[in-house]
Amino acid sequence: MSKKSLITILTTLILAPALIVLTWKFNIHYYITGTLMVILCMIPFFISFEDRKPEARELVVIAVLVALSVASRAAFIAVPMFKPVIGMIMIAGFAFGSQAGFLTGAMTALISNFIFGQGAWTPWQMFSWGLSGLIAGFLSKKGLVTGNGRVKEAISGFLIVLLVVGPALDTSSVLTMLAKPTLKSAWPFYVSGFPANISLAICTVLTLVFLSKPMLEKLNRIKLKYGMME
Amino acid sequence: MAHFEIKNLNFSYPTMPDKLALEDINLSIEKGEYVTVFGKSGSGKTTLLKHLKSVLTPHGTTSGEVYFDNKLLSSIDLRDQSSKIGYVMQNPDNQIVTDKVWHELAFGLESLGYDQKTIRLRVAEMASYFGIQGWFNKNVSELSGGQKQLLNLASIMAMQPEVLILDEPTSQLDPIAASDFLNTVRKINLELRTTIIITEHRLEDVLYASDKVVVMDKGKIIACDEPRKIGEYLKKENNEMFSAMPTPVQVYYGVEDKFDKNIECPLTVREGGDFLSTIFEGKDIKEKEIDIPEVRLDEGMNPAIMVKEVWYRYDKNSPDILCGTSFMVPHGKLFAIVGGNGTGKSTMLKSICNICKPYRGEILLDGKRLTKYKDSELFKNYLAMMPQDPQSLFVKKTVKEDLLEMLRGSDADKENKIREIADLCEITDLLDSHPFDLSGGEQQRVGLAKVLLTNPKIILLDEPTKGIDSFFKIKFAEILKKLNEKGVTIVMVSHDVEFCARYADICAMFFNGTVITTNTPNKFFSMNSFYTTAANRMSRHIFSNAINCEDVINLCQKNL
Amino acid sequence: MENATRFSQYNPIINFTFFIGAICCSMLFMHPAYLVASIFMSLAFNLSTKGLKSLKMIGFLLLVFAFVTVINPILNTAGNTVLFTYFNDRSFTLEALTYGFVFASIFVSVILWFSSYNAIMTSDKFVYIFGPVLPAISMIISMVMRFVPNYSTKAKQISTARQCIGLAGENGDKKDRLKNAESILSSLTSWAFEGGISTADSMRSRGYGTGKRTNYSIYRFDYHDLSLLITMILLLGIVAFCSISGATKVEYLPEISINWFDNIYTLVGFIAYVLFLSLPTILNIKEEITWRILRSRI
Repeated sequence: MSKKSLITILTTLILAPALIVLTWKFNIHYYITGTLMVILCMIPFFISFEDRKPEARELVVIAVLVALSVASRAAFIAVPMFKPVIGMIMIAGFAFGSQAGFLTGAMTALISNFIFGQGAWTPWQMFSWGLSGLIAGFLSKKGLVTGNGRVKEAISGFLIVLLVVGPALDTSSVLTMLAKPTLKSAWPFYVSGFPANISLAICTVLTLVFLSKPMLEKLNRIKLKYGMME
Repeated sequence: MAHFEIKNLNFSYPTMPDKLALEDINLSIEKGEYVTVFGKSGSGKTTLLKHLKSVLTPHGTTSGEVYFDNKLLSSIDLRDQSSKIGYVMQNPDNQIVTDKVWHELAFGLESLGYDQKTIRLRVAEMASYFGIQGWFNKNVSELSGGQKQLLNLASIMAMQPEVLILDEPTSQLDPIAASDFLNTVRKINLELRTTIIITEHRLEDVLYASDKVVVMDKGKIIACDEPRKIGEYLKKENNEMFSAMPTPVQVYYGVEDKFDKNIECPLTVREGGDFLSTIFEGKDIKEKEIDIPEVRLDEGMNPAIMVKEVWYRYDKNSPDILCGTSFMVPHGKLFAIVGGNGTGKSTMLKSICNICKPYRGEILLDGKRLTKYKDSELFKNYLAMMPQDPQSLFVKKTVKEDLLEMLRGSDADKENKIREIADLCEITDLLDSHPFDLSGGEQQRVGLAKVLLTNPKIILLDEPTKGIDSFFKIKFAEILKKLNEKGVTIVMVSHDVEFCARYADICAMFFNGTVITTNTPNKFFSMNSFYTTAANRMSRHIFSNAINCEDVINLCQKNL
Repeated sequence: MENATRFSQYNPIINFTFFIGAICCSMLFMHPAYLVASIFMSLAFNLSTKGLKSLKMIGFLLLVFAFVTVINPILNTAGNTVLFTYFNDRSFTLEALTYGFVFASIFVSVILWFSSYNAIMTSDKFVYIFGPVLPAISMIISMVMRFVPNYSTKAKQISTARQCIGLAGENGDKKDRLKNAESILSSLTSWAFEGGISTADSMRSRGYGTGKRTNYSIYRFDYHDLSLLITMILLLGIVAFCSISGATKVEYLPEISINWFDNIYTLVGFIAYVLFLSLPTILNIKEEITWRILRSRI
């Protein structure tokens, strides 16, 4: 780890508690606090990527993965029920590991919103989509999910959407719509968000079941061709 | 002092360690020279060019040295190399990195760490020199292919290179954009003294400008001489690459025994015309015309395709793309539609496939209305279209799997069909390769094989000769002729005037959304004075309907 | 750059600073006067940026406003002034309803600010701002913006190509169609990465990664930008100072208590706040008027 990364992480560790104190003291809108926290959490990922001075091929691989995911989100914009994008991000994570998975997820959220519109949800979407790629990469590194089968991929996709992506986005809407949310006042939002989350989870499962095997075949060939095999 | 000096260079790829991709290359290139490297695809041209820039040099076993400015290339700093040696690649799209024209122009300078002020000046200079001001603020995706390649060239010239290496830069462009591009390269060479090293199929546009032509075959340099001598060498060796020489050169050596005056070999149409005038000076020309068997255009009652007054536009509020087009295509013929960019040729093909549905007029296939066909019967055993980019057809890991995708039935049956089609398209050796690893000409044939597996009676081809070299074109034409003999009707849309003149049965000119004229190639091209073949342009003041170099040679032989 | 407004022509740093300032302030200040200012100025700016198109949003915004207003008192029963009770003793209080209004105002004005943000902050402006800090990430954004339209075109080409050889599965069942979609994506993926190799080569060939890299841009930071930036910072400073001095002190729960304009800080802070939020709208309108005058003189 370089000096820059170390400083970034230390700054994050100091800033996060400071933020909570400030919020408590000055009665700051919870959304601002929450969003700043989310951004703080993402900064180390971006900085450590920059720090590595990635070479041209790495940039191209991530750009292509992001562009494919963005295009997949755009392709199904006419079918609001079907959202393959989390599945695509997870496949990227399976094939290229946690860091690439996180970047693909976060940047897909950011860039597709340049096309569909940025909003208060952007940082939350970046964070949660990034996490889904990160977890996918982690699972595949630990050998828990190979990406070649169907069952484990489907389960992991289902759980990631239901436990990470869905709740994160629900939290962002709770924070924008409710003053001083408590567990008691916030639960209706999570309940009302549940059907949408289930639908997203099913789409992700379908995408993974149908695509992960053929896509990974292609991506593995690409890794060979780009000389990226570890 | 040579600018580039290559000494005893040998190279082999790790996948094929026994086969030398480059063998014993010795070459010296002077400052300011214009060098054309020429050879069949797969002869090692690209591999050679890539050895002239360290970051692009492929992995493999190398021996020998490359010197740049008398220094070993590998010892020169990469940063220096990237500014001094510019490299333009084949595909205009893939080379562009950023989304804005201005950003792309600045990309190289940013990488070299120039400051804002210098970059601003250089970018402005380049935009003015290359006439880019008009689209400076645009998104790259709004540009045409020709503009994109010009942008690539400009963004490299912004780094003020001493050498410009171009690897088949015009293979993806239409003929007009290609000539424009090559003229710009020529201008750079003449005005800025930049050394040019170029590989190119379109020899007619580069040969006259070259100081030196390098001919490669199977990884070796078989000839390196000034352009007027190269034709002589290839003719003497009876090398098949002679067929790729520009028309004037072929005509010159075709009638070589008929004149004994000391005349230089012509390279351009103008020189070719002068050459013909000289050899016929004071001679009486008895036969001005070549006999061609009459092809009746209205054969049969039901033509394979009949297009009647078709109108089409993409949107209600957009302009018409097809404006009352009518024509018909007889059975078993090769029907070529020629015309410029954006005239609606490709849209015409899509209408015949029922993808672009006309809002007025009708299309009949074998006398039956297109709208009456179901998609399932239309594209099974009847009609098929080959897209402009054959890569659009490739889905699987190997060529064979891709072909299998088309077939139903028992395994033995499938094997048979694949063997048959692979034989016809000459792709038997490629069956186990990955489709994306093939060369342009090979991909073209694999694409055709995949299309042919639908067992079509009518095939539509969109720009089939784009990006393939003249040897593959001959092979491709042979396959088309075989299909014609089997009774298959072929309609092709093309910019490639020379190909259509030589191989088509009927040519039609498309302009502004309609077919203007339809005729046999000889009549068609001899009536045109700009949109015609080089052979016709150089001989029209003497012969009336010669359109291929064989025609010209024949008539010369008869009259001398 | 169609219909570029005056404000959108300022340096992206100015654009970005303004939006961050406006959005954060709109969320921070719950003082009713400040809220009204924020809603009106965000609507005015949206109108001056997007023209009559922005009126289409009004219906939707009213709906959102009503929803957020009502949802708060239903979910939150705190507050002293009970308006009515329902469902056995669940109280609906005035204070919670007021809080609902406050949040609805915040929510709507943030939506409006973002709507203008999306019209002005294009991806290349974003890249310009973050390029120096996050060069690799910015490079990726720029590349993705280049790839996406390419991929859409290519996907259409592949789909047409497959249709023309009878592989589209148009008349087949759902499984055939899914299979076709998978094939299109597979083919697109191979094609995209294959092209990517040339893209990477082209980058390296033009010196990417050989050392220090600078960021060029067509945006300039001139005198106008500087003066606007200073004005914005000055105004925000006044707003912040007044706010810390109690200008925006409000309590809604359990009882409503508000500092009104008899407090000097509230008054000064409010004026500075309105000025800040209306800066871009004023610039846009001024430009528009100048043009009208120039045109009428021709």
